[in-house]
Amino acid sequence: MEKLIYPNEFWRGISSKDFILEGRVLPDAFQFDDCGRTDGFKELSINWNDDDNALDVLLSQRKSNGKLQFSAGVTQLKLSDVKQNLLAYILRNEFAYERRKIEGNDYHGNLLISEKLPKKLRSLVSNSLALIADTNIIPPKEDFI
Amino acid sequence: MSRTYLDEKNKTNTITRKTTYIPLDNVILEDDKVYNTNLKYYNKFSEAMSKIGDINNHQQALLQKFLLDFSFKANNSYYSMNADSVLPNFNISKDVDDAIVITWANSNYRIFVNIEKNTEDSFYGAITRNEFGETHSSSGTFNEDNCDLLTTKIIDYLTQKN
Repeated sequence: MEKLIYPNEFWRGISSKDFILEGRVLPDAFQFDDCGRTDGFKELSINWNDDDNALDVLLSQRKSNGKLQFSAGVTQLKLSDVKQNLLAYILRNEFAYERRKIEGNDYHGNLLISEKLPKKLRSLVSNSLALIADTNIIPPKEDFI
Repeated sequence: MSRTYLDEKNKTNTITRKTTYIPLDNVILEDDKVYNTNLKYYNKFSEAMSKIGDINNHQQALLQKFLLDFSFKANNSYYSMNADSVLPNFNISKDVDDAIVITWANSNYRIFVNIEKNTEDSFYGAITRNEFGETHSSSGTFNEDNCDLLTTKIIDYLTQKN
């Protein structure tokens, strides 16, 4: 089986300015999907920073109405920081990450959290990710539409 | 899902009486100065809450207790430290479960209080980072019984770190 290689950076889109407080990313930007998958994990979409195009793909993403998907920009996180901060969750198989290409976005992947984890701990994970991201925000491209 | 964002620029120094959420006329304080300063943080909370929308009675009761307790202690912090801006801004939002989430954010911490629809499930949490970059997390249940202790701990932490 081919071993997946992950770059040390990934991007997370910020869909609302309400997810930023005085230039700092809030945990609201790291809310995992409501529904769990068949493998028991909830997803949070990211783009792996394989090359310079990964950021462009994310910043160019649009909603069905033509508006920018990530109107508040994107934030970059280091995988090494995430692994260091969430090591206990990773060791207990409560937190993971993956590559999962989707149509038009080869860089797409997910952060994964066990749906069995109580909400209190899921909130701690989201807050940890927000603290790692902190002020590392790339503003959105100008929306000409 | 609705969220609010408090802009520091919108902070005013003029404090007006508000009757939202709590019968403030029943709160007896020593003098007008104390009364006014006391309301500063409460009004910020109140302003944010007005954008949140409906919450159930149990949530409202626990939130009121938290807000008033926090505001009273914020008042003491203002006086003891002689600085109105010693306490940082915060965010109040409603999550997908209709829980009220209050968050404080700084380069070295994220502190949050969740008041759930079923208030017995409410909780608080903190992720803090020390000068060596090491993080520490803690969390616990939040209820009327530990509200006093929790607000004291949060204010103590916030005033030390800002």
